[in-house]
Amino acid sequence: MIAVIAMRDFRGFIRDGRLPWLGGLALLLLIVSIAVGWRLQSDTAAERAATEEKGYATWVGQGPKNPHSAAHLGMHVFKPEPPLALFDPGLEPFAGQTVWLEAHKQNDFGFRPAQDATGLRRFGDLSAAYVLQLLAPLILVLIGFDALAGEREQGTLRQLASLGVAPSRLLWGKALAIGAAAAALLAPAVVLSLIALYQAAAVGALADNLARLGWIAIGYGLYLGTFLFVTLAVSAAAPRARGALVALLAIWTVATIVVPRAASEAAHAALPTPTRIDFMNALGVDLRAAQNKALEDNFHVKNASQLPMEEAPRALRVDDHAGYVVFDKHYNGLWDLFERQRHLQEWLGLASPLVALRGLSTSMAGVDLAHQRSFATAAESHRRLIQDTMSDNRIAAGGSEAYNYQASPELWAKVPPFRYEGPSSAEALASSWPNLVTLAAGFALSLLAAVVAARHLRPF
Amino acid sequence: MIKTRRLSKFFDGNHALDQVDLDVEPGEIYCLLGANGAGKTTLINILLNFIPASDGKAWINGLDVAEHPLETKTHVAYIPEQVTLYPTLSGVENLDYFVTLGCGRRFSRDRLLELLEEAGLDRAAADRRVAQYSKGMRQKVGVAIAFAKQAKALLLDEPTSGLDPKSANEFSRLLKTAADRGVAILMATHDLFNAKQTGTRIGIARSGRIVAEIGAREIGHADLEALYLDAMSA
Repeated sequence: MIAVIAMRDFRGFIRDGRLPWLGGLALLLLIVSIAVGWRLQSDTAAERAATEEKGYATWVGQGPKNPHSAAHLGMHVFKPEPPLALFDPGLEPFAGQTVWLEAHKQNDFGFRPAQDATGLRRFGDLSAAYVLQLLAPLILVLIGFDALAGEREQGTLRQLASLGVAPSRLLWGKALAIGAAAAALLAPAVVLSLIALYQAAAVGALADNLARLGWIAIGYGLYLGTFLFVTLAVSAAAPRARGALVALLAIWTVATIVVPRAASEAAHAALPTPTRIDFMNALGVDLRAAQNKALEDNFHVKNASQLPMEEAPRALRVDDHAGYVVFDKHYNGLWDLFERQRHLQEWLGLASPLVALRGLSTSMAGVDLAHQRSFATAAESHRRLIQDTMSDNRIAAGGSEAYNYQASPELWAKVPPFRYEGPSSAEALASSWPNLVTLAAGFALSLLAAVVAARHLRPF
Repeated sequence: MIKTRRLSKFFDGNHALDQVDLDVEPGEIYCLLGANGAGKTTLINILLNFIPASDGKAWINGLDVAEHPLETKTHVAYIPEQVTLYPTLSGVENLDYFVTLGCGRRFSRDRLLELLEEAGLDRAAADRRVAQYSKGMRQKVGVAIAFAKQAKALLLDEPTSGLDPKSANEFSRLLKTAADRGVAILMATHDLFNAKQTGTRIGIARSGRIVAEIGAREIGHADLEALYLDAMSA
């Protein structure tokens, strides 16, 4: 009986033009967003690999040189774009994708695509995640708002009730029809994503990326399922289809625009991020203090210029190591602040499943704060490896001719190319399971609301 | 088959039904006459459990309609004054849908077309979308839905409203055939002529009460009209 109801409704969606028009538009957007993302990703991945390879070739091909100068040349490393970023770019366009590993200082990330974008970017990027987060719930609303209210209004609900169709079966039939309509839209996008993933994922990383895609699918399933059952609950309770539509559009606006925006603003207001100038000033003050103290503790002088020439390499190393602690304190403090902002935003965003979904989606796509932090930490470790390798060699060379000393090119090859492996899907899930729980709770509540509304369904 | 005892319904303190006792036996066509607001539709709505009774009880095939809302529906078929169908489906698709849900099994297309034909809808119209149907054509699909179910009881609320005289006459014939098969029929109507022609027993309702009841064979057209007018003016 449920299948019969679902088939009738599905046929109705096709014949009244809602599915072909709305669904066709959403499907087109999904396919375009995935295809464009796929193309961009494959182009930029090749460019990055080539640039990084060239950068390392420049490093090892420096010729005889003072190690200190080599450390200042440093190298540029690139954050590998996760394959699933083509589905959800997350922080990628804003957080920067490359960093210059230079002596003595931890540089900020560069190359943010958002910096090069036009003002239109303020309206959001066209990505599959954007389509599924904002447009797909709207399409569910537009397809399902009259599922029960419309039947009541036109009188067919009375006819169905007289035939002994249980309200619960009607509810499941409607849910199946709308769910099938959504699946018909999503299936080509999922297939395209799988092909793109297969092409983009590195050998050995496919299983991990498939696991990530699986969790993303579960998250979006719960999210869209929540909207589906909220739509049916409102449609069952509203006396008129028009009233149901108005109520559902209000819910969609609040859940997808107002609450996420308000939660983000409130989190930033409660836990303000320091300006770049303030951050750099505080870092500079602490660096100077720590380095002066290290000089005093290790060499009993207040200034490096008071040291004999042969102590300069060792003093530089002490100075750098004192800096590591300060960099860690300030940058970790900043990352922790971002994390606290994210947690607060998720608590404030409990009223909207979108906040939890974004957390889960960006985490499983490998484009969230935690993945960015992991890369930044790995890049900084590599910078310190370069710096320490150069310093150690210079100290070993010793003598008063430290500034004239030239290391042989074999030294450069002692620094391996930067290889970054991000967190696994299990690690990503471990940090975002509260979002999954929030989504599951939202789904369960919406299902309960729909069942209760259907139980009180009156034919007129 | 259809039975009520002291059945009452109040809306905002007003009696829509006031202690109605009714029995419709298998093979009987009970025509309930009455003006608008006499309580005819309210009685049918309670029998279908669309609305709860304020007091009293109603049974179909021995089952309390309030306690067994779904089971009683397996024994009853209903034709409203305005049969509502899905406009994007054809007549035969609507019939297929409702009959499958009502009977729990699928009928062949030939059988569905036969049912529509028996209800007076020609085959050419059966495949047209219902959005293009007149009220009478929709009513015929409603009749086909009700008869396909082969229920033990039929509840009809002004079913011939909108039907042309020929179709109304054909509908009366279908009701009599059903009654001959042992179906109990309760038909609410304004139409005295139709009630006299079709019914086996006629009740007259006023202000929620059945104020007169008579066998259809015991009274002529003119006398029925006089009795009705008397009851309305009392």
